[in-house]
Amino acid sequence: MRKIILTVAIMSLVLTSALVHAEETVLFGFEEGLQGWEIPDWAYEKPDHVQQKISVSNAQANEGNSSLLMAVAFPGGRWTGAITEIMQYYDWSDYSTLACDIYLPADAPLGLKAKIILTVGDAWKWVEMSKAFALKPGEWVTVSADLTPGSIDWRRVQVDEAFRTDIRKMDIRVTSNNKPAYTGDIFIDNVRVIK
Amino acid sequence: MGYSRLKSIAIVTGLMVCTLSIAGCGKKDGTKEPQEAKGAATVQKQEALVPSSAPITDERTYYNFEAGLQGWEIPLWSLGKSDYVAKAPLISSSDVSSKGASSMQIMADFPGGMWSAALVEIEQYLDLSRYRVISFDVFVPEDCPVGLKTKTILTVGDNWKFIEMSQSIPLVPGEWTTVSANIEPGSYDWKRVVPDEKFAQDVRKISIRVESNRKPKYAGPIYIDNVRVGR
Repeated sequence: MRKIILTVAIMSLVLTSALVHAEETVLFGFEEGLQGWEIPDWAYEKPDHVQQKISVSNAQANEGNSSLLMAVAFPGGRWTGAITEIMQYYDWSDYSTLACDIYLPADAPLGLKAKIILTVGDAWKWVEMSKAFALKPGEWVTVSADLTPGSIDWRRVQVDEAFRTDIRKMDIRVTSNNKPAYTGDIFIDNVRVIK
Repeated sequence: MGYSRLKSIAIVTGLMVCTLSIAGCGKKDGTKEPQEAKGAATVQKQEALVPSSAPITDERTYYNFEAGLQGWEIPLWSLGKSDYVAKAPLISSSDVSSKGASSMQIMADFPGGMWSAALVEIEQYLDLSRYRVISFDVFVPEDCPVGLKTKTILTVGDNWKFIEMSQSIPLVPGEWTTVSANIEPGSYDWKRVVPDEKFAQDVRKISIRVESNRKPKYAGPIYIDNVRVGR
């Protein structure tokens, strides 16, 4: 009898776990390379953009064994940003949330923030998240945004049904607004959509 | 002689009438019309700037702290200041709530004897122009002294203008206090600013400040929940 109860309990746990994971689709885990992510050319030309290079790293990972490493050099004292992007067409009609995880090494200062930026629709409209997430040195922080109609997570746009059906580019930007100076690595992993 | 005098008077009178007419005195009604029209426009404009007194029938909760802090934080600039007394970390707590099961807990340490405040904020670009009020609930435990007050502060527009509510609302120990401010054009709920049509279109930060103006000394938690907009 005990064995039956134990078996049922284990099966329930396995099934629940499978269902929870089935709700998420990992778009980029960076297990087999950068998968198309790059630093946009225009960002190299702007003095207020301080990303230096991106690569795949296994120094940190929140999903699988590797993540995207972005080397940055924030000078502090002025607004600067570090950006990386992927150009790819998506229809996320079946999903309600977009998320990614970002890790800042423990020796990094407080004050860096991150947000996702989408380029959407025929007009290639640049749509930033309406808020940025504060990064915590030594911890993975999840940056997430609601994709559903009526969402307040996107800036200067009325999010309707069409919004999530025609995504053309996705950027992740980490910014220092005056204060934090930091030269080092930032890790990005587990870029995903959630039902 | 009498006839010629009468004739002269008639001619002079006629000339005066003509002169007055040319000067516009005969267009009294015509000149008044635009004035009335202008007056009407002013009245209409004033009417448009008076907030509606209709009841709020539709509310939307933006922050309920059920799944974390949702971006709320103690601003870094306030952490080193002696008159700002919110202590990190800010947490989502299940101790008390006015909606759902959780609220945002701020640990504060008001020393008394001086003005001091606990301030939390979220930096988020919001267009609130479809709504008429912004509201939130604040709770302080029963052992908290009477005298703490609270208000919200909005940062709006390209100039990041810091706009406080014109009044602070007293907190009642052991009870939830609802704070509500009208964001419609013409509202008198804001200090040194009468909102225009653009006011609510470009909100960039929402701050909530709990303050002790000299008297109340209190070290302990303050809870905030159900930050919402209504129309």
